[in-house]
Amino acid sequence: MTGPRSILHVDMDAFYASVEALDDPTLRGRPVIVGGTPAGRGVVAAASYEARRFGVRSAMGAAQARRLCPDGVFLRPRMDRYAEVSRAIFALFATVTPLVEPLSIDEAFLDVTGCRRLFGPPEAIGRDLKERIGREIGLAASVGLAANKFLAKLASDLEKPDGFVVVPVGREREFLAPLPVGRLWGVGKVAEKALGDLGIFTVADLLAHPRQALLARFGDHGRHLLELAVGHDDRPVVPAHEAKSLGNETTFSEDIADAQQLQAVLDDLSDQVARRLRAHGLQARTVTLMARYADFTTCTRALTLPEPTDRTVDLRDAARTLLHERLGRDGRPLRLLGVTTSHLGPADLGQGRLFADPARQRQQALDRVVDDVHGRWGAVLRRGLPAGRGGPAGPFPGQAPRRRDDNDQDPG
Amino acid sequence: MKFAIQQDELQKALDVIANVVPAKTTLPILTCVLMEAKGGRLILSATNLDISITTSTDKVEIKDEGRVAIPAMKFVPFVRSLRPGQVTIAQKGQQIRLDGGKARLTENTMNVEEYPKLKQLEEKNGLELAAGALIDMINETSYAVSRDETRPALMGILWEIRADKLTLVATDAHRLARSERAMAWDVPGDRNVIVDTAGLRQLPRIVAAMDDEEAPTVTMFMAENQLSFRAGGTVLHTRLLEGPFPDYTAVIPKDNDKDVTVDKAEFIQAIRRVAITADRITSQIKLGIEKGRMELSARGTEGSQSEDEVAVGYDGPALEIGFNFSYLQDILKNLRADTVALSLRDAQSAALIRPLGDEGQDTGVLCLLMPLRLAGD
Repeated sequence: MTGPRSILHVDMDAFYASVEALDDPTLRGRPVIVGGTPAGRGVVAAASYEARRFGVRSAMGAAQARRLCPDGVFLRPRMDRYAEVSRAIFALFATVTPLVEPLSIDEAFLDVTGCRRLFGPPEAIGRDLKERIGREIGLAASVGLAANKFLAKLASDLEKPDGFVVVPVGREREFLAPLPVGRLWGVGKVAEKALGDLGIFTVADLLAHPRQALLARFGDHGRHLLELAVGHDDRPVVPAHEAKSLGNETTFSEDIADAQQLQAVLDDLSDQVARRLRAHGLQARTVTLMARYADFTTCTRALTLPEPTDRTVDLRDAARTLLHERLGRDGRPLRLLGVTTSHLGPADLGQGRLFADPARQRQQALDRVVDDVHGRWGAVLRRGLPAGRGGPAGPFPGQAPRRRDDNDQDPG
Repeated sequence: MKFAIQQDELQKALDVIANVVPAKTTLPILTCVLMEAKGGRLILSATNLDISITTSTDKVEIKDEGRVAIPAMKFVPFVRSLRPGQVTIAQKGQQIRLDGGKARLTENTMNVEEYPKLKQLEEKNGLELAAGALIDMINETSYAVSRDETRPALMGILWEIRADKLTLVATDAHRLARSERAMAWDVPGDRNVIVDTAGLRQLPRIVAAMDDEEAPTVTMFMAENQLSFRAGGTVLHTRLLEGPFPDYTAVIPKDNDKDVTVDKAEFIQAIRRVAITADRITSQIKLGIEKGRMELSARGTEGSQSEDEVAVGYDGPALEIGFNFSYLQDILKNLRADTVALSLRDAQSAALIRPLGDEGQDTGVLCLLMPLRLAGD
């Protein structure tokens, strides 16, 4: 590619709650909380900005949300309706460029580099798109425009809600310098603290620190951080049907050595990835485990499955095999685990079957139930975890699992 | 232990067993071949615990009897690489030394006491089969077995043993292959077993190593949880898999009314040609069949497409049907006939594919293939 690219990151503001307010104008301006039952069970899937003022956040327990915001309007999620609005938004994206990479139901990257001749300068394309989402759909979106995905995503988040932030080409460093290092991809709480111990709090601090010292301390991960700190990110925008891989990873708040705890985290990741495959109508043939040790050295191990799958149980079994039999961890503690699937293809190839497979059908039915419940209630139900196993092995509070999509560069 | 043997005899024996030595195992002793010199015979064995093979020869001069476990990884290729001529093998403490001409190999052995105790063959109620027919039946079915480890029964081949016939069936749920032969044998009663495919795949090699018999036979022994075969000086034990095996008879179509005959070689070539442009993920090719001709076509995602045509015997209404070309190729490659018959009903129903015998008679071989839903349907 020659010349700078123009990448838009479009992120709908409080999507579920906004759709509810769109459909019921009496909700506008009121604290709307989607997810969680009136009895205070379940988890918050989305909260309007009015509700966020009370401290309500997504993934928070509904009981806590009710304490913080007793007058809030608590609604059950209507996933079918959100999916319908999402389809309308993505149809709008498609009128701008075929290079649309969905990140979720309400968030996407658009590569508009090639659209200049057709639609004018990228900033005009971005503003026009944002305006059309408001006019044609009736919802607010925050948009970031930059020369790559990393910067565009940072930009869209800076002035939420209803923001429009441009990172001008050539002024990436200026844009990044004052931001806290925690904003960089791959910097979790532990790394943020480790950097803080070195006196590094902002991106500018990171760049001012002696390069050799950083590399000695963080290895390849440090090299990756320095690339991001100067605004480099050459991952392409990959449309969903061309996605090469799809995965999730999570950095622990404390390093974990216990095999059972690691397996619990891994099961959770496998379930999330399988769920995302199903949501995208994809199946995967290869499962890759990524593990990062306390010293930031990173290992990957891959397994090819006999048949492409989108079933939670298949990914979980493959990931467990990789963790227990192939990684060679030798009891050493890990700071990060990731599960990535690749060799993706459409779930339904149209190949007929001679016999029903009862076990397969049971698993698929179970997956559908989990997808449905998950869609309706947020992340309250997980596959493969014995009841009551939460605590340190569960999803780590304040440390949302990161997604690793498509052509993400391996940070380690 | 010390003995002398001709290189070709030793290589032949190792070729029979070495394929069973597992490449990766949690039990390191299994990476060895077990070698025993005893009672004027050299006995070689290998096992991966699911399958075990023992072969023996008396074309050996034993100087000292003994028993060793030798890692196969270097020993077997070394023997294969030797020039013809006499080879001597002698145990020296923890090592063996092999001399063949001026070439020499010294290799560490492993503790032979750790080698798993191999089952002894109980030679009773043996059933005799023509080796050639048995290998044909295995080749006619084994390609269709499943690789899905979540459904182990489908990774094996079903054997239906009856008083007057033997039927082998394999399926991965997308396709099915059945091979049936009339048998004149004395079976104690009907029995269905599912046999480990990897074990059965050893049989062609075992039969090939039999000494110049005109009509070689294999004797089969059925036990509770294993099937054993004796062929000349070789014994193969293979485990049985747990069922259930799906009721395959229920899916053999009875009302496919569109019968097409086609020259197998021409069909294979046309498939190979159009498959070049087939979609890499779906592997789909389309067959458009009408009176006297079949058009094959494939369209790839990058805009390329191709067509070809073969003459067929057909006199019914036009029909379009999609298949995964590699499934179709697998079937055709394994049918031993110049002409094949396709019986179809519609684009959604299983196709029945059979080889036609020289006089058009039934050969006992039958394949089913589920179509691929054509894009846009």
